[in-house]
Amino acid sequence: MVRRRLRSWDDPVRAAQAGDAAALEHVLDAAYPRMFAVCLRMLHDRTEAADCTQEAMIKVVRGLDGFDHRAAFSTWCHRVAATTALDAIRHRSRRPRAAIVRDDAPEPDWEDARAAGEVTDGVERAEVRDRLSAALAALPTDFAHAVVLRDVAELEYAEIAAELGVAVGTVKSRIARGRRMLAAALDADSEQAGNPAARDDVQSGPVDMAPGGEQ
Amino acid sequence: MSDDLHDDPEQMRLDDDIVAALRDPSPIDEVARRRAVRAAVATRHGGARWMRPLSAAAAVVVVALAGVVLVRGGDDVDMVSAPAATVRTATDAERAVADMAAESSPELESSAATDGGATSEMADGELDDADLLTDDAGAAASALMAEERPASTAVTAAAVPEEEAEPAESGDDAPMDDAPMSVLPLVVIDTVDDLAAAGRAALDTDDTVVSECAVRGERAITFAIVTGVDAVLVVTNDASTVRALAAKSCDVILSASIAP
Repeated sequence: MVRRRLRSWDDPVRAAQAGDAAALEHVLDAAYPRMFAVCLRMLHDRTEAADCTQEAMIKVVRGLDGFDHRAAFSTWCHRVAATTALDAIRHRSRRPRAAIVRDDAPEPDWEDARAAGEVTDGVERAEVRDRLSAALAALPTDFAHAVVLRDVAELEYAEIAAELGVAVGTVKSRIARGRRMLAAALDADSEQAGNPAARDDVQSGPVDMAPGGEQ
Repeated sequence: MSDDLHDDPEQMRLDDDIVAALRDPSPIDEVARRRAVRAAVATRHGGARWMRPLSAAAAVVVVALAGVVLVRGGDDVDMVSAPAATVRTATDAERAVADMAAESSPELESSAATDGGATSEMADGELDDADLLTDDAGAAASALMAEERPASTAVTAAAVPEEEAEPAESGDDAPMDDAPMSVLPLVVIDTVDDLAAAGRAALDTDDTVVSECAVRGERAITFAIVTGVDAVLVVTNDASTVRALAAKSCDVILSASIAP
């Protein structure tokens, strides 16, 4: 399939609802990266995130006929992915897990790559992503989830509150503090890596790493 | 800064580059992407047609050998001795699955009938359209496991309770008469524990993969093994299980998505 960016979701989604399998495949393929990103940022495990995304896509298809176009299709997909990821997290805590060896890629050695002059824009972007992933994974879960649901899934505050079962005020607090913690962690990481310039662009408020003060 | 401002997400935004990095999950596993898309599309347009008659059959997941296939376990995979099968007329559901198997891979059936081996030509990790079967099967599900394939291709059905196996909405999708037909010998596995035991026997191992499948049985099933030639068929909605099995030198993966 030729992959291209969708200019508009509306027509292909309507075609998919009308039974056009190719259109459905097209919109799902286009929706996959962000849905996977939502799952990945929530679960911090690529294999689990892939499973979760597949599950979410099936839910999307099952609910396709009920999609009424009042919200953006992409937003709806993100919400389904977020809900599925949260369900996976809840099940994860209840489910005994047998060991399966996963073929995760080895941790890249960015310092070696940099020293060897192999640093390119792509490597730097990948480096930022890796550090961001690590910083996000290190955040208190409640704060990380709030940030991901807002900044990756692009849910409204009320939607996040409903997903997490907390008040809107709590959601806002968690997002603000989570972002602040994330920025601080990235700053610290950049300084440790001798790259203080990497994080000078976050609008910094007072940094409070303590996860308290929720409403 | 006041507490309100301190906790106002509008006053504490991440830079666009950071947000973009958060939204960028690279690198994306394209195989997983394709599998997910196909599984979802198949949910609406694909194998559900075949499995629909089974939906009402107490969510019995039926797997017929010979075709659909398969994760090949290698030449040393033991055949599982199934309990004595009861010869009777196949149900509509079983015939639908037999048809499904035949249509999915007729050349494979031909191969299995002649040389006793079911080796797919598909490359590792490649998924054919026919590999994506879906079902709205609902909660409980069972797996049917084929017994050792007899020399003759004419085989019989196992004892599936008629009231369970009879589809409620048969007819439209699988118009069939009541005439006896040849289907593979089948063994009904009712519980996840039985399934795990069958899997361990089939693979001749206590491998954790099988245990993992059992543990994941909470999703409803979803895992079936067929032996009889040197093949093992796995139906699962769990991509990590498929990948784990793929790591066990499997030739072909059947990826199915079966609803819990």
